[in-house]
Amino acid sequence: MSLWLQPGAQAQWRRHYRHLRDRRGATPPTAVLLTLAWAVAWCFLPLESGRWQSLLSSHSGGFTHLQRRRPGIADPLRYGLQFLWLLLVRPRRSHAARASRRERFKPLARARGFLYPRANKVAQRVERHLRPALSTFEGDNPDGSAATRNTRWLLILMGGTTAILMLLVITQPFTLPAQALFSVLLWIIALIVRRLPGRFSTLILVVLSLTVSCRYLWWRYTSTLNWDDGLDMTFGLLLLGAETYSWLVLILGYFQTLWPLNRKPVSLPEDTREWPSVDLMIPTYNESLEVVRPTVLAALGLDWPKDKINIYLLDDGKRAAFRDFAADVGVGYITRDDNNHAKAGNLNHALTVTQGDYIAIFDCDHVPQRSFLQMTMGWFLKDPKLGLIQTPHHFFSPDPFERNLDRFRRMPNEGTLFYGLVQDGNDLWDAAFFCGSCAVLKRRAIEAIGGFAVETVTEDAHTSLRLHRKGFTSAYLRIPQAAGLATESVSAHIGQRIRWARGMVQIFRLDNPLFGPGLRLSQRLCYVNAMLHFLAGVPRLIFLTAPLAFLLLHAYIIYAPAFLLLAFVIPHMLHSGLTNSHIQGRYRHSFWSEVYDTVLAWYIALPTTVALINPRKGKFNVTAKGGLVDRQYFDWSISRPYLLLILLNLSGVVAAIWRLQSGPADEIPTVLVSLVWVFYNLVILGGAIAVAAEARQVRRNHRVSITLPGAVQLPGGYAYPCTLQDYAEGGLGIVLPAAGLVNVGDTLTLLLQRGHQEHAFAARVVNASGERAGLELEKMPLAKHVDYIQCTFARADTWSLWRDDLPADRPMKSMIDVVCLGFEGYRRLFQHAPRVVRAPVSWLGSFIPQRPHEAS
Amino acid sequence: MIRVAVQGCRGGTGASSIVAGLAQALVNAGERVLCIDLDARNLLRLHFNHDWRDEHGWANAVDNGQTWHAAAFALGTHLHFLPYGHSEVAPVEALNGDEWQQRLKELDKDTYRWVLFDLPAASFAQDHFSADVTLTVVHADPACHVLLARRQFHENDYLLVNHFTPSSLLQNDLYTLWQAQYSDRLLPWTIHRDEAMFEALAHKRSVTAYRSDCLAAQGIRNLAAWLLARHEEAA
Repeated sequence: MSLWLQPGAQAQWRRHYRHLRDRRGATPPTAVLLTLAWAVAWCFLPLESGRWQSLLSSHSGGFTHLQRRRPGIADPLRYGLQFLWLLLVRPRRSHAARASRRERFKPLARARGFLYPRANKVAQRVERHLRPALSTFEGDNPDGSAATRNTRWLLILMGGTTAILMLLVITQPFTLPAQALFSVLLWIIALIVRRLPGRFSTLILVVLSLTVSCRYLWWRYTSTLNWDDGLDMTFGLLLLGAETYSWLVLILGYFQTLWPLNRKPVSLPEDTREWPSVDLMIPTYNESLEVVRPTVLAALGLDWPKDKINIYLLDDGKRAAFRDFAADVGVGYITRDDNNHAKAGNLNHALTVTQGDYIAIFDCDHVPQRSFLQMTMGWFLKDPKLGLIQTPHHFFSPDPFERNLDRFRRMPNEGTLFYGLVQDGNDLWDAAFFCGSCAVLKRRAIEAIGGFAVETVTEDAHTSLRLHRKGFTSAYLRIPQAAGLATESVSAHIGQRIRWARGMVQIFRLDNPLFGPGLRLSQRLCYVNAMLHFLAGVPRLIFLTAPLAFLLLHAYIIYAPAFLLLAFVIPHMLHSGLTNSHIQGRYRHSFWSEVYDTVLAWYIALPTTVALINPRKGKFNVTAKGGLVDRQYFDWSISRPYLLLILLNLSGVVAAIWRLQSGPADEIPTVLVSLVWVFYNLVILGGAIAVAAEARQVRRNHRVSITLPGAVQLPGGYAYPCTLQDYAEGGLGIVLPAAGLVNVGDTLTLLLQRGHQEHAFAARVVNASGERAGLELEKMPLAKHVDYIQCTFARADTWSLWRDDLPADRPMKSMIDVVCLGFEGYRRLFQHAPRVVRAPVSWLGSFIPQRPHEAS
Repeated sequence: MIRVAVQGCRGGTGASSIVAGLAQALVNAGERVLCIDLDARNLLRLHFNHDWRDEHGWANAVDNGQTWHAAAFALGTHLHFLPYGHSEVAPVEALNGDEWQQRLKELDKDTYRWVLFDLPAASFAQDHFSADVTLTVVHADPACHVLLARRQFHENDYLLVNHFTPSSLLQNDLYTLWQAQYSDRLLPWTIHRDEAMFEALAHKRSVTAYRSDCLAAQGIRNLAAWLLARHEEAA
């Protein structure tokens, strides 16, 4: 080598080689090859010059990601690609620089500032004209007066005319331009109307949405089916069936949630002797004592005359520890010889050995607030026909969606829609139903229907259906009066939903609310919608695979030109999205239903279909609660069906690209529409996959976040006010007014208020940083423990504060959110993939050039 | 001028400390305050960083034929205080509320919004000291319980529990009992036992000025806020 190389160059080569071997960990052959490649590059490029040096240096960022990895044989290619990329893109700007660029785009903001107020002004003007009419609609018109009877005839007449006009609008065939114009006009009306306050605007939006959606479905039925081709027709009918299902659920949903009742509590008589007696029942089967204890202790602290309340622990597990605990705290303990009919049987047995006028039921992990009975019982005294009052199920731990997607209390959770809106909407139609816990039932009513229903696995809904059939009414009070634990893992969540779905479909078959005596039409519709909701599995799977019928099998599932399809389907989607966002926005953000439904779709598809065919199959399975997901993992078994669907959709993408290349030109729009659909499916499936990556739970005792004033008394006699930030059964987190007031290991006295009473609890400091401190409670005697539960879990005001700070729905933002979630799902999938899959993909990925950050 | 009289139910309940703390809390809220010590032991001044050897006060001034407010001291712009001073013969008008109301009329109407009187611990012989608000400072202990039972309440008389320790069963029981017995007299919060309250006097300051973030100071701030809200309503 020394023969044909200058000594200086030789030293350079050696240095480069040693750098690759020692510093960057290259293998000898790689190092030799790369050194050679570097030398070749040097022959053509002045790599020693200042400019090249600065470009290649790790500070500039242009090649940083390559300099960080272990050198590989293909590195020259990577450097080459990155070099070309650097020629094409501008470096990513820092945050500050981007902010200044946003300044430059001020004209856009100014235009918006110009347009929005004017649009608002128009809306306000319209509203001013409409206001007198609106208030007569919104006001409470007393029924039965002569004037109302006259207007009723007028309304029926108007309604009839409108229905005929509506029919005309729905069935009138339009050409493509006419349909497009029609859609745009309706959309403009919707955009203006949605800014009007009050329920009337909701009504208009619903009417617009109904018009557009009915028109779409009519068009689908009349002119998009190809009856000549068997394949086309089969897939076409399947899709049309799924769409009809969605349409039905949409319409019933509008009906159900149009006018939430927002019932208020009724006050009880002054004289507590008139208050009825209540049996509070806590059924349990296999839950641990740690889960049950706070519930029982909180029940002991309910504000109700002590001689009029009896608490019973109904233990189907027949455990000695539970019997001893019940005896210790002085509550009743009931067991039975068999375990027939699970929870319903347990309750029915308890009915035979108790006497109270009313029965309050709490799942063993739902901690009641002290005000529960005082808030709910008033309605029973006011309405003698009332058989049931239900309050929301509220959770102080994140459900698996919230935990795995890191969205706890950052948006409405999955249950919010049902307990915030649907039950409240049901209540208007006297169709609010029993949800198994946090409810009070009248004993006389339960006895009139022969006890809790045992025929299905959802005894709760079935029981209330029977109550309604017997002429009892139900009420829903949308004030959280208890809180519990959410299911702790996705698989447990899915298991619970399978049970609900199966049970609801069983009721649908065994005791169909559409038929049979005693129900009003509105009640029938509400119950049917609740049941139809759980049949969503099969239609969802059809939507997730429908475009593949065309892309893979070339079946014309929608036998219509692509542009005409767009002119019909886009308004249908936009209007239903906008209207639902208007009605449900506070309770569920747009597009999230898609993710929730998709996660469940596969799993409820089969059980519901089976239950639909043979409703007597299927047993009650207990929802596991209070567990701990102790490590981060990816639930492969849960996500397997979704991986299959993703693969199918990916093959659809490949097929679409092939069709674009080699298919006939007139099919291109159809292929593009299908492709968009496939991508949408992929995003939603990505979201479903993201849920399967189980995040780790740190603590066994779920901590409840709160802001509550308290105080501490320190060892030296000093006392300070503090703010309680979170609490659990065994410990609390506080914020003190200054740093360094407490040290780890100090014992102190924590003072908490409950009403006018102040309670002191001995605690030990287990961690302290700055103003924050974590406390662990010392062992407490029972009475103290009851006090503690009363000061924390069972406070009457805690839960009601929670929903205030949730951001409102913004459909576009929500869409971006869901799209990001989809990508996140694929990222997590990749992270947890086996090495065999991950290695080649990440090797391929290493060739992708990266956009550097701008040097500051 | 709103006259607030603070008096211990018996000796040693910490009434003077509360007067000093309350004065500071009101000043912090932007009010102009005058504190007058009506206790011959003449201790209130020590909360205001006053020299303990200085025995001038309104009693000497009255004895010597000067005007009663000649011996007032200023602590900042908003807080003035008037020590009792020293007098061989106890001034008879010391504990006469009407007499003091006459005296206050000599002042400009808006010199002070609040006048706080630090009264000596109650005794049976003593007449009712008329003021706009009278606070009786009590400990949740049996002695105060007996004294309260024999007490005649007047309009605008309120009870304030000081040095409260919630971990004491006895104190909690008495407090709960009083909540029922004196529901319209007992103020709905307490001032907790807090070492900072005693340290404050050792530093010759009011607790509000000494450690504004401690629990006792918070209780006193509550008192100030209650007084302010009460007289906001009245106005």
